[in-house]
Amino acid sequence: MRESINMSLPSKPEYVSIARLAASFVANQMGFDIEIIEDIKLAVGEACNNAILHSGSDETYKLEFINKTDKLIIEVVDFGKGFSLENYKKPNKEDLQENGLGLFIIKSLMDTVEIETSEGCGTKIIMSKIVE
Amino acid sequence: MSLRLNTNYNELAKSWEVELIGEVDINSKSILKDALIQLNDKKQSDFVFMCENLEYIDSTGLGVLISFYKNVKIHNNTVYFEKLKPSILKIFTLTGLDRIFSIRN
Repeated sequence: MRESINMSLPSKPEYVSIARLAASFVANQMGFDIEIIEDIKLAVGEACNNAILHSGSDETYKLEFINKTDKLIIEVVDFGKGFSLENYKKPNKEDLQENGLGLFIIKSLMDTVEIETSEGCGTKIIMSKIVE
Repeated sequence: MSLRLNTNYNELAKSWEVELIGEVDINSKSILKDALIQLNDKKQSDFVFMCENLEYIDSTGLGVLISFYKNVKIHNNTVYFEKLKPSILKIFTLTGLDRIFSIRN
């Protein structure tokens, strides 16, 4: 079985809560337990934040939830300016900074995370969680 | 749901008490940031965040707390967090914030 839900959201902070609600709803329907639902909700929120804050695009971004039998795959795609992954630094716990925690949180909470980005071509974050 | 704040200066404990209700996210973080700057301008002291009704916080909200903590620390004051929900405590631990903030039940 493979079903998918597609959303297109304005690149504005006030709409991120819609993405989080959708994430909770889909994760709940797929049978994830409450703790994992919270993790998925936060990871989706962070990916949407990333699309809004770093894309440099004020149009829209896309969010897709794919229900693949035992696995939830989530894609967040923006059409902004992209970034250089080589310049991304993991947060330093001894000297935490105001920015840079989002990707770290996504990678910590999800089972797999792939980031496709290049300068000028937007960013695609693909993450997944297996139903146990 | 958005963010609501209740703030009070506790004379006995000589600290600001800030109750966080709802969600601190990319949309509501500036409400928190502005309120904290105002309180700290009014009186520099310890800060106690009461988090029993804090449902959600993301990295942008944590960013506000990290930069605010740096302001408070300059004056040798402490930032406490009380009654964090397990899902939020998990994020504090994951990001190492449990080591800079004083967390208590």
